[in-house]
Amino acid sequence: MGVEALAESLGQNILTTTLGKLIGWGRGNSVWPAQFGLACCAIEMIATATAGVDIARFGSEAFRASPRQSDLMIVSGRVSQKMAPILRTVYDQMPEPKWVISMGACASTGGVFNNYALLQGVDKIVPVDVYIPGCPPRPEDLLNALMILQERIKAQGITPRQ
Amino acid sequence: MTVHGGGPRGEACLPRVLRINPSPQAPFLVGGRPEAVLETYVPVLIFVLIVLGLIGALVTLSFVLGPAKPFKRKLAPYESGIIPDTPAVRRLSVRFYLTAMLFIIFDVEAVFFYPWAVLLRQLKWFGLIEMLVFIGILLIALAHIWKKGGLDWE
Repeated sequence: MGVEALAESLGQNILTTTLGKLIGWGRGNSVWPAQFGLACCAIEMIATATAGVDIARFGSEAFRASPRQSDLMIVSGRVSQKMAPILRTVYDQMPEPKWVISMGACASTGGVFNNYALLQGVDKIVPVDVYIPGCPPRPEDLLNALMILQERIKAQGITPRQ
Repeated sequence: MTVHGGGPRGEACLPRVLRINPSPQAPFLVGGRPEAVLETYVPVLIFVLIVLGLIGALVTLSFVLGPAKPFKRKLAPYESGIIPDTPAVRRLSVRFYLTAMLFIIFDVEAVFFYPWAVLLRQLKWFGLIEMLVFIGILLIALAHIWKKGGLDWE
């Protein structure tokens, strides 16, 4: 079951699109990130939650300590080969719908660490929705990525994801 | 309602509802019937019903409408991403049993010291000697356990 399956069986009509707008609005404004700090980018992620930039303005201040309560995984930093299966398990244990922000050069591409120890881009193991450039990105960059993600979630509504 | 200045002091300056037992006829309620006490709980009852209804609605809605795609790895216990390779309930050495029993016996006896310590000045010498007798009995028990080898780990 699930509202996506319901919408798929009903097709595109005035009811499902209106409901999709409502659910997309709700989901987009309550994206709860998982507490998953990996490296130096995590410091910027923590700074995003402080009063100065205040991620709470976008409804995402609730960094959850359990993936069962999270919608968003912010991969904030370099991912080592040993951390990769752990990261994938945390992603697997998040309930649908879920999104991933790849924060910084290391998470997106491996950054300057072109070696055997690090994963060369987190998109090798989890589907990434938004990439943030920077080393590390400023908190404003993370907020920008969150806003892009929010627009996408709202546009997505309840149409099933590919 | 200021305490300073020339106004009434003490309990008299409190609002009427905050005063302790303002009239001896109605010990529970200010200026009301004693049976009206139950009626004051009606808002609490309504609040409880609203909360239960809200929780029930939210849990049911998310259960029905939420997309659920369960698989083995997702339903596994969350261990910060580490896949657990041993069951959480393990067998413990039986030696901990004796240690725990002895700890609980002596720990519970130590609870008796607190009321004694509070009333020490009133009990005077009698209390002190009585407590020394009590501690002496405990020490005899401890010596007995020691002699029997209850404190040896191996």
